[in-house]
Amino acid sequence: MQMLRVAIDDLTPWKGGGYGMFSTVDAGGARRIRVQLDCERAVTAVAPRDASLELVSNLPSDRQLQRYAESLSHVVWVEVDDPEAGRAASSARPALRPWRRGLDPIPRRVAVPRTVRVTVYRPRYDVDLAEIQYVPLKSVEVPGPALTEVEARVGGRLEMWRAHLKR
Amino acid sequence: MTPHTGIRSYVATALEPTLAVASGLTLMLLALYSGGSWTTRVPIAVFCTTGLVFATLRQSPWFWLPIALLLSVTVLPNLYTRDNHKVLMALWSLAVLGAMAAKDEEGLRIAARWMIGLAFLFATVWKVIAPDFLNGAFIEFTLLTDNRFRGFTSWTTGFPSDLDIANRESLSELSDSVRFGNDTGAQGKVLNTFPAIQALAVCITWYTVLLEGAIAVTFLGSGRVAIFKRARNALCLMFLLTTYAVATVIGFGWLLALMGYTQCESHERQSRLAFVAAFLLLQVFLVPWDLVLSDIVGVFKDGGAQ
Repeated sequence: MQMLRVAIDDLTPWKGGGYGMFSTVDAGGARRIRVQLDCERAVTAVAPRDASLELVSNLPSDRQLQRYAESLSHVVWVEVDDPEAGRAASSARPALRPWRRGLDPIPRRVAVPRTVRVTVYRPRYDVDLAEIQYVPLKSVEVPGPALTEVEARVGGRLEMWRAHLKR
Repeated sequence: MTPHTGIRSYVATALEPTLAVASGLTLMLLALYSGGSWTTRVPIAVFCTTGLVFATLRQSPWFWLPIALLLSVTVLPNLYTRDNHKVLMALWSLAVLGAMAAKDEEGLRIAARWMIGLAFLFATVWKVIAPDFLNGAFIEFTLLTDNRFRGFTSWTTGFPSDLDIANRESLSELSDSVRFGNDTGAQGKVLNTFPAIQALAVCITWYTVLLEGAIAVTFLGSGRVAIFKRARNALCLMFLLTTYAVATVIGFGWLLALMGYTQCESHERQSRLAFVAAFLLLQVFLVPWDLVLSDIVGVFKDGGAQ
């Protein structure tokens, strides 16, 4: 059963009760998730570290990935100064992370993407070249939220990124 | 009778009956390593403490029923995020429940043997069919990048710390570029390695797959082939003492030692003692020996300087 899920749904061999741990570099924790928001230009976002990220890394089945991307499409994305996003920003690309109601200050600028794309990458190690690569495993794109939805979540009118004001 | 044999005989007798000792060790295992959220940890801690204090209570199937149910309902919905040994723990608690209900020590012995055999069979199959195990890629990558193996790699191969740091930085940069940057990983990063690491990786790869395969075969075939029956305990102990000294997944090690103890025949007293000793020794592997030794060396150096 576990082997079938590995073959069909790209479950990592490390999980699912099949005792495939320590057999491959393709562990769930070694996979990488790229979240791209299509705003006025494509920007990457820091996926929140939670149980759903762990689940979709271990088991990126079509259904799980779709569900995960849809959950991210309802997130209010803001620019922030945190160490993780800061590293991304240093590569001259803005990185966004979810706004947390009650924990973060009310944001003035939010990104309201047209689409949210989630891509799962798996690691591959070439033992002859001693080279580590990440290869795309699966990707899904879902529509972004409506402006009204984001405003309702934040609780007020916001300065949106220009492209979204044109929508 | 010498004092030596006297102590051995006393300890071996004290380890009877199997069901009582196995249930006690199971409670220790669950108290320390069942993990999960507070909704599991708190009731498990209460049950384990109660069961350890009241020995007769832990002989009752009614005591084991809520434990087995709790572990099962915690593991099943989270099958794709929980570690494999947590799944095995839940199955083991069900086996203990069954044994207590039927008062069947022999049944638990057989269950333990099959659980060890099947777990190692699946582990071996995965290592054989995985595209990056038998060629040494997984072990080499693990030796180069896994924090748990850092001290071992440096100690056995003399891998310099500056190359180790450079590898970790390369990996971190690549990871960041995949998640946030333009470069989505296709370029890759070449890691620093050593001929000694490559040779070590090949040795560990074949040692692991052959040992795990041998454990699977001897445990599953011990009922039919006499030599398998004789060899199985030594192989399992060898695995416990070599694997967990490096990969310190002590929860799994304890479960394996406990099941190893339980599946021993009544006349295999030395093996039973050895599994209990392994149960204790696994904790010693958690000591950060590199720090302790460097502290000791530091004390001697300071003493010499004064």
